[in-house]
Amino acid sequence: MPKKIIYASLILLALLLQLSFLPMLTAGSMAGDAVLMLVLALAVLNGFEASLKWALVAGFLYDLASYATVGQHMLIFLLVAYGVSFFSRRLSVEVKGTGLLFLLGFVVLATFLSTILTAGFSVFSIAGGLKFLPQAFGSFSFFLLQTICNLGLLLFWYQILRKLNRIFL
Amino acid sequence: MFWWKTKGKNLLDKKMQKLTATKLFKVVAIAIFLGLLIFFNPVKFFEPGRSLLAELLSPLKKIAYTVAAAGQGIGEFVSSIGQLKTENQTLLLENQRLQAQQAELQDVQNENTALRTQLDLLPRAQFNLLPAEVISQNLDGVGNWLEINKGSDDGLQEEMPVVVSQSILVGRLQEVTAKTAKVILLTNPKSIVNVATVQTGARGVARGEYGLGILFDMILQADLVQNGDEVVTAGSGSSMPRGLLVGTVQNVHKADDNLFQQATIVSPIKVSKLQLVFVILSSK
Repeated sequence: MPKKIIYASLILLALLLQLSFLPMLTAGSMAGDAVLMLVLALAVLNGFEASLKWALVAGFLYDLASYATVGQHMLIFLLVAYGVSFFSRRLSVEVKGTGLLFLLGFVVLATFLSTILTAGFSVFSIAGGLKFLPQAFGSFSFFLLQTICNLGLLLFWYQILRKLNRIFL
Repeated sequence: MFWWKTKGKNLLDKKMQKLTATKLFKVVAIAIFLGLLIFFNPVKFFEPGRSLLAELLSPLKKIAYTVAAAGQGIGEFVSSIGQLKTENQTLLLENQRLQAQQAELQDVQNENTALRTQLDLLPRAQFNLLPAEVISQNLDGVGNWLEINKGSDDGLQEEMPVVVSQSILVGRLQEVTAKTAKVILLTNPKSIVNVATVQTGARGVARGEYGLGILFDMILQADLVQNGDEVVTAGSGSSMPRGLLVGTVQNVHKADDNLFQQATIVSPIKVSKLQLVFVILSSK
């Protein structure tokens, strides 16, 4: 029970951070995704099975709160959770020692997946044609900025989740 | 024969059970379901949920936005060593006011000319405005929207224009719930507004470029457009009133098809810092 309350609260907190707090605090220059990184942190710490339902819940609430097509973020988060599980098994990831490198790899993967799918959804919904995909994806420097912001956010969520897991779960 | 069939069926069942228990199967099954959900996009079905969540989150978003605005203020104060910040804000407001005033003066100047007849600009400050606070935003990439704390309960409807300083256009309402509304910005690729230049009356459309800026498109080759020209809404064919300032023209060039001219429109407002906007409910 405390686990459900804690995770639900964290998702709400991530939504508030992503949609209201960070964009205003950074005057629109914030490029990361707090909700995506929370899901990634959950997947890294708890594994695929335990994080799947939370990834879908977070995606659903994110879709509703951000006026996106319902299913869009759910699909992205599902793929991110599976991607983490897939690579963790094959690379025998122990998130100690060289953990930061693997985390960086996951951040790059999640950021790329999220950006390309969001751009794809946008092009699809506006019917602008695939030629607009690179424009919707954005520049490489913007992607780099997104990745750096996301790494910071992942470390933030990772520390919080680890502490909460130790105290409550 | 019967035994062989039963054994074969059991083996098949076991294999199916194994397959359906795999992660990949789960992921593919859920992904197909979500893909269908996205494709059919049952907006109406999720509307009550979206409305309820917006209502629940609205006060929290307002608090988060206000706290962040204060934090931004502190950060700016530190980085600009106090005085610069105030000066900058004053100059920014002054700049906005002057740009709006300049456009207004230009309108007045043109009032008795043929251009006035052509554009038929509405006098500014003659709208019924509803002030609304910004509670969340998404300005990066393809999103480009703001959320305000007023909704259909306050008389808002989709397509209503949103402005600041009474005459600078920010965007228009796209989705309205009971307590909140989404404003799509001019930089949103879904935003298309009929516009014209104040100086020469050259017409075209202002369309969003995936968050990168605003493109002044479909300007006839015969029309004269110059850097620095002010662009206002032309109003034709939409619920958008005429005469709202969109921005100033920069970088005029020929379109790829050589049939039209294109230009970049630079908006005088910094959307990321907006805390208060006005929705135009109707003209007076």
